[in-house]
Amino acid sequence: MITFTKTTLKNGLTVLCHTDKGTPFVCVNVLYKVGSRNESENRTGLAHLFEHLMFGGSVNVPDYDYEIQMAGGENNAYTTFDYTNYYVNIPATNIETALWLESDRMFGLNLSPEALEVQRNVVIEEFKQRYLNVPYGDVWLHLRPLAYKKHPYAWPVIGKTPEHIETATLEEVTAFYKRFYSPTNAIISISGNIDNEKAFQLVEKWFADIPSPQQEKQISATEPTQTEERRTERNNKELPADAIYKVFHTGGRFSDNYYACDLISDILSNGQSSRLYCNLVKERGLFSSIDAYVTGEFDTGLFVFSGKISQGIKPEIAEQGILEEIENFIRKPITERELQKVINKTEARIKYEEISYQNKASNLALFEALGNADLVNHEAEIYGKIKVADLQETAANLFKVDNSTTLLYLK
Amino acid sequence: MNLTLNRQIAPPTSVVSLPTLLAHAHKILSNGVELFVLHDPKQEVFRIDLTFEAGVYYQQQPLVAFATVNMLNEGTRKHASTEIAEVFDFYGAYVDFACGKHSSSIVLLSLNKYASETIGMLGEMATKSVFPEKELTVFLKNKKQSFLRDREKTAWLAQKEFARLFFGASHPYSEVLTEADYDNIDTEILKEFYKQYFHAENCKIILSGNITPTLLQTTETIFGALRRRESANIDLNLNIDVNLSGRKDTDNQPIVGHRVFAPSPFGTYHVHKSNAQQTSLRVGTTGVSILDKDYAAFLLLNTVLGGYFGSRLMSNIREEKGYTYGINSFNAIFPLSSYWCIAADVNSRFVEATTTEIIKEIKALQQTLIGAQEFSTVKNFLYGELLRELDGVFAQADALRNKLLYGLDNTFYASVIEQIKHISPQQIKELAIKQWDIEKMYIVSVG
Repeated sequence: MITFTKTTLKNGLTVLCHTDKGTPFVCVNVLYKVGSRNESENRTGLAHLFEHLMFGGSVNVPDYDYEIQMAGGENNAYTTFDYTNYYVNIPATNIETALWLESDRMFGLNLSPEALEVQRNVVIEEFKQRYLNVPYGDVWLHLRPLAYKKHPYAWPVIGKTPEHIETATLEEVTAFYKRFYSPTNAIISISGNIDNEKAFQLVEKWFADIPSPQQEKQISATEPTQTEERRTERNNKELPADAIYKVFHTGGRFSDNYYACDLISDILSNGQSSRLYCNLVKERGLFSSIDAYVTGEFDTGLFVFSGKISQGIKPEIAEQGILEEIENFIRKPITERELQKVINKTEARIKYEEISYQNKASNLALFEALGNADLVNHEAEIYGKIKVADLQETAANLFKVDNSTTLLYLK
Repeated sequence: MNLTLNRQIAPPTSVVSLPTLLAHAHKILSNGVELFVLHDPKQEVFRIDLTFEAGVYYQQQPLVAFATVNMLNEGTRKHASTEIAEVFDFYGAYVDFACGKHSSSIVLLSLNKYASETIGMLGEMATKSVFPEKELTVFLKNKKQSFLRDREKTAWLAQKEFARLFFGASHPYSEVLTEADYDNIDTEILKEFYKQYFHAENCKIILSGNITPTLLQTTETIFGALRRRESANIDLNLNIDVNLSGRKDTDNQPIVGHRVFAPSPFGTYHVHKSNAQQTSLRVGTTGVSILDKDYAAFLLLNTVLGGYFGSRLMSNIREEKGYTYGINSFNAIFPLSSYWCIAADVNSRFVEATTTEIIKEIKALQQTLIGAQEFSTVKNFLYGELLRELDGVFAQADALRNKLLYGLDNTFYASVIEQIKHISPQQIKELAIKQWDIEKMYIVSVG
């Protein structure tokens, strides 16, 4: 349970606060409702590149990191399909330093050609390090455009290609900032050793005078229902092993479908007593590792199977193994104990997550971005209400061959 | 509009507070197991860190320690692997295994309401594991495959090559692996290792979180029954090398053959990896032990060079030049030998340029006194960092587990913070000269 209070400033900024006296720190978390979903298909990777530029100094602060470090804090940020999240963990007595810095970069950023040039290079190296220089690192570069035909989820957050980053201009990043980095488009959540009234008062002090320009509402394309099986292959002799990635479209992060799919993925692959691990790894030896999970994008997500195929096993046989597990799931009854197990696991996971004040701040902001911060405290309840029959019905609709996209890596 | 707000002036900051340590209880169970308890009644969960003096250092061939600890949940005299997994999964508990240089650990995180079920199974794994043939075959096959995956990663190769050069290929610290090593392990080897090293005198337990009297009692009962060492089978050579507090006893120390450090000559080494998209670079040399009088000063020095986001290496090589996504330096401490290393994955066109800049930055620290502003930034950052390392009961348990390897506990932090306060720029410069000699470094590139 995360107890919190919420308020909205006149300029539209949403503020959330949760008090946790068990830590000497506070987390100041600022979420902007902009992600790769807001990019055009000809300039992908911009939201993430922009996240890097947010650390290049703002109107009144030449060096963001210096000020954080001077105050004993640490900070980082990440970009997703749907939002960009910045956080600072700082001794509670120095919270104003974080608010000063965050408000100043919401107020006005120093965007210079030099900073852009360097960060383009840094991001391209990140692209290589995480997506190109590791086996299977490029999976989403190939799979997403096949799974999504209309929606901007068709490319990974890092972008379609390094060229899009190489050629991003100062005009483009400046326009991006103006459009998306305003109080109405932001949520600030604070968690840690501070009383709510004090936190609100300080946020008011630092953020109230930031103007919020009128903004047109951007609506992402709707992904049409998939109606045919899609497949592709990547052949590369240097791969250590064959691998398979198979995905199915799910509902968005807030839909009932998402929660049911999440439990289905738990029954299939969460823990060493899960079905895929017991049957396909231990019993039949088809895979050296296999995982099933849901991606949880806001509009429409993916249910992912990803498996590294054992040496000497034909890829068709391995794929058949997954299909049989799917078939079993739909046909054979799930036991009450199996369901109880994944519900227990989910409850425990939520409790473990609530140990960290930083997790609590980012979860509050995320749920507020999804529509309502209060839902963070009702997830366990939502999971708890799901019945065996719901799971089977959901699975039957989800795991249709016409809803599937498959990528095989072959050596 | 808030007319009084002046954004140009930074809000005042106060000095970072000192960490508050939770009191920890320490007791020795009747069979010799050492138990530490860190209690925080606000939690609904608890953790047990079970550590055995059973790391890679003690093995006679690669993978033995790793396989032994990671196979503990693959079958006991009472339960099959699936039944063990079912218990932890059903109660929403997590079990993690880690194999270190000298110690191996099993960590259980569980909800308090299911404590007796989960601890019971943990105890069984520690005392009654049988390492079934079939499970071992699957385990080795899958680990071999992930080894083949790792071998395709330049960063992994660079790390392994650096360790090989620094410790010597035959020393267990470097654990040089080949595909064949995965075929040379059998259940008898693991059972022997288990018998020899997983016993009461080799065991330390840290219990953290919400530790109720019942939970404490359960833990004492279960682990108080851990068998004692069988006196007949002691490997005398090993037990002389390191006593359990981890302090080195260098006098008259017989060392078994393959445990001799045999470093390669300093210099530049390249490992070719075809089709690599980047080059992984490692530059390093001897590090500074946590027991060394220079430890605190070296922590400070390393932070300045490459230990935080605003470090000189990051500012220069990432933020100014854009050669890499990240570059950092770290001091890797182990009971018998420690190394210090800079690591980065760089654009292959700029490997030499990066090396040149690294050397430039090291020399700058040896030639020029660090400025007051940078010095106080780094000190403040470190105070915050050390406070974070001890933030919360589970962080304190992590910190304690590591300190125990060296016969220390978390009171160590107060003395480090106190020392940092008094270190001068002059001392930092002298230490940079003492620790770093460009001619006496390994420069490893893989790409």
